[in-house]
Amino acid sequence: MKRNQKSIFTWSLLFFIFEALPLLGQSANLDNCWKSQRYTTMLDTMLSVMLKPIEDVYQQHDFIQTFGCAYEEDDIEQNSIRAVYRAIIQSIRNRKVSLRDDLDTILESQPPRPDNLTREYSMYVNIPTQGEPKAARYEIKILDLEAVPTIESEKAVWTRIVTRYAYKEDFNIAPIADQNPSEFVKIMGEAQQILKTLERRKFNKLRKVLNIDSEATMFPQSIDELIFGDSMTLFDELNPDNNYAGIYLGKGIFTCETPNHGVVICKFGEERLYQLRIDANSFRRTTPLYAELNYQAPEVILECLFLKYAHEKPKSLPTLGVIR
Amino acid sequence: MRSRFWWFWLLLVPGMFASAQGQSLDRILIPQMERYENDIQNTYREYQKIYYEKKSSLAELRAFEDIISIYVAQILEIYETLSLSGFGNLDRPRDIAARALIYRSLIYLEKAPLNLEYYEKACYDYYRALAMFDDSDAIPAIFKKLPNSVLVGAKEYNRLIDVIDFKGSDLYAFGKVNLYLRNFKITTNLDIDEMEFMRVSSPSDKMKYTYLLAEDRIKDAFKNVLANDGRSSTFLALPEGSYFIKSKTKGRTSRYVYLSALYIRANQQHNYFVEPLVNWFIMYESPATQKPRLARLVFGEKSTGAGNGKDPLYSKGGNKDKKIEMEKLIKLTEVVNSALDRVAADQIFNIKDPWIRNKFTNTVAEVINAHIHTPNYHNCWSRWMLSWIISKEITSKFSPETEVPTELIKLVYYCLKEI
Repeated sequence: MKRNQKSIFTWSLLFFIFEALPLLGQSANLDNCWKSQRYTTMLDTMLSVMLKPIEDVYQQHDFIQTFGCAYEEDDIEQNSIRAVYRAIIQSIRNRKVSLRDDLDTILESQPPRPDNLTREYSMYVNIPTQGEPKAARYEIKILDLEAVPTIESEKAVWTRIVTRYAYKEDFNIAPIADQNPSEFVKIMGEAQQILKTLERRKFNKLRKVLNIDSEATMFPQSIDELIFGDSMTLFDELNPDNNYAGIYLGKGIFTCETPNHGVVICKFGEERLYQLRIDANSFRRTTPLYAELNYQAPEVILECLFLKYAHEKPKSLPTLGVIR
Repeated sequence: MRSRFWWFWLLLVPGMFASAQGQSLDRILIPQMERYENDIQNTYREYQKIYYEKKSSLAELRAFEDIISIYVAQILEIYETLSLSGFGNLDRPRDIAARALIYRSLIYLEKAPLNLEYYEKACYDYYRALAMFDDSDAIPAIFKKLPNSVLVGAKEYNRLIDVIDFKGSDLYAFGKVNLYLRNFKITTNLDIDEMEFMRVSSPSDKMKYTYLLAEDRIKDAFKNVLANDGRSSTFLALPEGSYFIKSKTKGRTSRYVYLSALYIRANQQHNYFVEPLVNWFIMYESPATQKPRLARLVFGEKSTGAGNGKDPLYSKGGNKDKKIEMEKLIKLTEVVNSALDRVAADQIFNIKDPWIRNKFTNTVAEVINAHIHTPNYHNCWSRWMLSWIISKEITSKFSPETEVPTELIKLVYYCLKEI
């Protein structure tokens, strides 16, 4: 009998080590979505790598340094492309010039990867002048490109690049460059604060931070056009004159106020659990920065926020009567 | 000169040949479809007789179902051929195909009390028939007059909607779910065979209907997704309730099922997107609800904004609101009047007399206005079905005991589209 118990215990232990333990690592920590025993956040990683100064040799040759990161894709190569793209776009923004080439195509045709040596690119930009913009060759060197597991994704990537005009005469006529290392990281930090506020379900604070009551700059026409921070109006199914505000987070997940359940985090369709409907004509964008920088809330965090309060939700839709 | 002549004939002859081929296709295939439809109608009549005979056996009924299924398959195949061949006007073949599906649905409904799974089967055919008219303003075949009247029980019917209204109330207990799978990649972690589709049931829940066909349809859609550039779609007929997909072996916590939860209301259509999320997937509904534009007709292009504001469209009580209500009704009456020009108004009751016509337009406006204030307006799954519900109410008010005129259904549809 004792021997039997011992073997059951051994098998349970083995099952825990091989089956359950890996799952614990994958699933979200529902107590605090931004905490993990294994990894730090992408933001923390970026804040530490962005302390790295530009090397003297590059500074002396008119290079500027910018950073980029990506965690959205489930693929290191795609994340590398996105990270490098963001770093190049930041340098373009800093230089106050515009792209002449299709950056996506350049990067897709020679994808930057942490383990290969495609580290230098060349492209053309338009330098604004009094008359016609002047085409100038632009050099890009990837100094660092690393895959680093973070809370957001195990396949996250960060990069450090330096860029300059290929010819000195272009440098001389171009506007003076800013030294902003990464606007995306700044936005990522703001979004992280928003998501942390949301984790505590402080909707009014969110409302103020995202400015959802101010004038809209854009009206997304469908859910495919929605991005993080867009707002919408929900109305009561039985009393349509009662309106409630909602904020879109990503992947069909949004947060809103409800008549009787306070602030909820749900996916599209679940508003009906609270007798609400989304007015598909009411989508509004008051904060355009997230769209400009193509920010997407990390899926892991969205999943965690969604699952955290899921057990509080009603199990089925309220009865409104069958329509015949 | 001679070479020009030959060039002319070289271009003209294949063109004429193609056109003649198209016409002959039309001349052969459409009568063929009509013959099959006739056979289906006869089979349906025979099926009813046999079903109510004392000595009827399940095997006999099954044989009739098989026969009708063969006819339906033939009709659908011809319809597909005609659509793929770029045949011009598909209205007639589409109507025949839709009617064939509805007949089979009626046969399934006949037998459903013996075998509950048949309610579900009937629903799939019914939804398929109605879906043929999605994205089009053409009136669905179900509301049109039948080429030959159909005998159901002791009564003859001229439209399938009247038969469905009499026999098909069970169809209204189901909801239609369109699933659109997208953004799936080769790296997406999916274990299709381990998926299990389940219903959230409570102890007091005594469900009459089944959802046996749904799981295989979902699995098929998932299997197709990677073959179709990360996209695929399917539709399900589910009895009212909450459902979820869970993985048998992934050992996920029970909360994960909320990601794949579907909430179904009876007699509604839900469009759900399915997208990968971390190591699982999320199913979310596409919010298709739009408040009526009537507010804008009355108040101009004034935005109501997000927040706890009150929408003037739904304001009630108070002198100001009464004025708004009046304005709304006047606008609606204008909409009804202009829609009347688009239909054969002389076929809607007897509204030639200006006084009666005026009374009629007011009634239509009032009934539509009343519907805007009910959840039916936001929940009804198709504008045509809502038009049918509203038309029934108008008929009961304006001319009880008469059949709901098809032109009235069209009129209400145009009005709903306008607001």
